Amino acid sequence: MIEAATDPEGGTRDGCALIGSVEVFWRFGHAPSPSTTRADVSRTAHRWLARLVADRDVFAWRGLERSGPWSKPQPVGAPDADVSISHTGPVILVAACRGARVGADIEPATSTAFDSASLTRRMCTPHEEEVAATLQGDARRRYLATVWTAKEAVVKAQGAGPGRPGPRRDFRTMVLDLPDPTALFSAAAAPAAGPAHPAAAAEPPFEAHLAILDENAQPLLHRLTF
Amino acid sequence: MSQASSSPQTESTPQSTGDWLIERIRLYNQVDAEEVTLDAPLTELGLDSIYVMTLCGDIEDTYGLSIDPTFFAEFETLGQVATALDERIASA
Repeated sequence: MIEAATDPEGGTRDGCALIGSVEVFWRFGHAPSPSTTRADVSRTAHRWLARLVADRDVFAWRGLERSGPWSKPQPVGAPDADVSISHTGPVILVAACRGARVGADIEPATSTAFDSASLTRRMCTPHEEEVAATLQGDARRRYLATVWTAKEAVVKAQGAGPGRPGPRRDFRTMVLDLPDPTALFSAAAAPAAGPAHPAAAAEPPFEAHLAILDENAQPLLHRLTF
Repeated sequence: MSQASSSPQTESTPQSTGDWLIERIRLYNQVDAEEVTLDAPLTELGLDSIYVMTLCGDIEDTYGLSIDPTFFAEFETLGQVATALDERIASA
């Protein structure tokens, strides 16, 4: 990350990550409390994205357009620019850049969704499943949240999505350069088999990734925590 | 989160498949239980990327069907998913 700042819009945080040679601008925060539905949160996210693009002069904002109901929104009149929106509950992460395809994804780091064996089986490579099996409780959830957000950010950069026809890659065969689980925790000790790692409770509540595709369509990743 | 139930003992019908889908999606606990109905638009059920993939895994565990997440993009309501899924089960 080359910069980060708090609050241009009521409790949000802005930043710029240098990924490869591409500056990816992002904004993170909680939607205002009246935003109770997914549609409300989505509208807030779109508003934040427009403000981010304008505030950082990323490109000339003329809105977004979709080629179909499940397609990724694309900036109008800016073919070399790209944007990505992620929200979980009221928490929002938006990203924008020029010169690359970008994807963003954010999830609660200790979501019980990651307790599902069927999800783990569908989202992990065999190696990742082996690593997850050495972890328990919140340490395991955080590791899986890291794996998930990285892969989801990549497929978003590719323009694919869970309900979008297209070249969505199989998460079980998607091998990414992810940090060792020990790097996910600020404490020196590595999470290990046994009780939940004590450091996990003090860790940031959200895991996120930004991804871009390089000139060879290979993904480059940047991890964020909030 | 509860794991997927074992394969149903009785032959599936669109209604029983729909009931199973409702049960699973209520367990995900992303929206109020009463909002999870066969008439509900898929976009209003809290099925974000994680839960779509979880549901694919639960379908595989319960019915032995390999379903790609893109399967759900073809439908607007949970009832439509139930009908299509039941047809896949019957032809498997």
